[in-house]
Amino acid sequence: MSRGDPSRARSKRVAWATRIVILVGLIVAWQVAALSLGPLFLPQPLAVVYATVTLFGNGTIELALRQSMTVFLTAFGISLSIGIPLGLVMGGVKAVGDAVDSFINMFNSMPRIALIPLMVAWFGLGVTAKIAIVVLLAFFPIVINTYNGVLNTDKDLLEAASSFGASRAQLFTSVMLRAALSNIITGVRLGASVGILGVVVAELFTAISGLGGLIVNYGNTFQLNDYFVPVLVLSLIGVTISEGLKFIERRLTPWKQFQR
Amino acid sequence: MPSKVLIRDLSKSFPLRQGKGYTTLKVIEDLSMSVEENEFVVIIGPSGSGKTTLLKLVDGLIPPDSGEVLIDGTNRPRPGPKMGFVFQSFRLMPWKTVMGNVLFPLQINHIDRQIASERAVKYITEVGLTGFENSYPSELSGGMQQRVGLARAMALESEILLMDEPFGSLDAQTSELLQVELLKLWQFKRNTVIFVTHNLDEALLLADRIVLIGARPSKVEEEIKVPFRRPRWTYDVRSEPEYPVLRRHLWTRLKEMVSKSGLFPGVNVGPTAAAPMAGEEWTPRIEERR
Repeated sequence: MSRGDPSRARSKRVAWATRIVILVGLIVAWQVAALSLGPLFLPQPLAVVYATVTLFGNGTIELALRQSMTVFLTAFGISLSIGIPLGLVMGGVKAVGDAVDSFINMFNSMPRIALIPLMVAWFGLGVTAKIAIVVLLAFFPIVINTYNGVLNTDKDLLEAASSFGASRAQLFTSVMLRAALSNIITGVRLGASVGILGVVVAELFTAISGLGGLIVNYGNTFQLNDYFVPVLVLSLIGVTISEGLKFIERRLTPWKQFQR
Repeated sequence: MPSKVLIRDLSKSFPLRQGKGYTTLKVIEDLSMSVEENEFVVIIGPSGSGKTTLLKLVDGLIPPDSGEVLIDGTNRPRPGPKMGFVFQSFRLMPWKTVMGNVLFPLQINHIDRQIASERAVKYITEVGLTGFENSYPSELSGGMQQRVGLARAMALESEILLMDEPFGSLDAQTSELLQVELLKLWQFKRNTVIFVTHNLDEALLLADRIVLIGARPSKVEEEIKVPFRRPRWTYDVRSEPEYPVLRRHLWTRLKEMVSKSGLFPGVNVGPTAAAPMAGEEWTPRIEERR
């Protein structure tokens, strides 16, 4: 039950050991594949390590990272600050929810990548267009999950709170919001991972820049050693964000630790 | 003095989906009864009779179709600190600790923080959960969770306590323990209690008066004064001479109602079958015909 539980500590150690074994296995497989395919198709791991050192050393990655993260963080911030409140209002006020829900679903089921040319037409090829594209992708999972979280609040808990005299506002703040919390965090996590994808896509389709830009440039010129560096950096960012959000979720929902 | 709770010609029905359309399901019809101040009334009725609906009407959670509920002779009921509610399914907030759950109704009703936390500590102690203040409901057993439910309702120090089969989902041992603890708690509070159950032994142990309500649409079929002296935890109520007589009578009436309702066609109300021996369980025999 508690953190100091020895069986839990042991299973954690086993998990880490397994992770390391898998990682080593992947690197070995990569090495073998690289040797058999030749450097034109797949660079060797060590070559990628050299490329990493070089690209970090001369500031290429730092610059690209800064460009990409500016787009991502701005767009993600916009998506969160509109998406969560909108989802909450939709869940809290039935009329708004019913009215807006169908439109949200319509946009969500549309292949939104198809709207990129439109974004370019409206916002040009610069940072604004990139931010618009990322918002377009990250916004919907956040709204939808927030809305569903509020909507799926346990009716029995609402009735209990009502029986103690809770007003509608109190029901919303002290029951619905809390009940929706883990759904909201799920939405944020989905939004973040789609957002990272959006950054790369945006950087390919508009003025080439950032990590996505590096990927196209290196890919088109067959500099595969260098090509792998932004790819690895991007996946590292993805993992960091999702682990960070998992950590935040654990902090915000301490009661969940015991529900396994 | 007016009755604490007066129920007059109360009716309530709900829409019932039937095929493509709706019909109405009459749950309660022309039900009248009253509960006096400081009285412990147990409402018994076959399952599916509107016992829970009745409690919700008394609490003011739902409005009646016709008739009225009057508190203290004049006021329409309104959910709030005047009435505490204990639910069969506990209904604790999973994200709040024991302390947080007991404090919750007090915070909702803007009770001074100092007073609220003193009361919470007091009632957590009274239900025997000292040391578990910071635990989450998911860490507790069912019995302990319902102790929290009890403490939460009691901490409001409401004049009326509504209890909807509060021990119905607990195992027999735990529910008997909690019945006794409820008796002890109530002995010193003496607030007005309306307690719904389908357990005859529970009713006979707890009640000043038992109100039998019939199958849907429910009305009051009979009221029975329970003669056992209080405090009842100091002796075995079941060994009192009236106990088996009362129990058999209640059981016979219940069976009559169930068979009349046609809900359980297999239940036989012949003269021999209608008089089981004291101590015989009645619930399982109905359950098995579902």
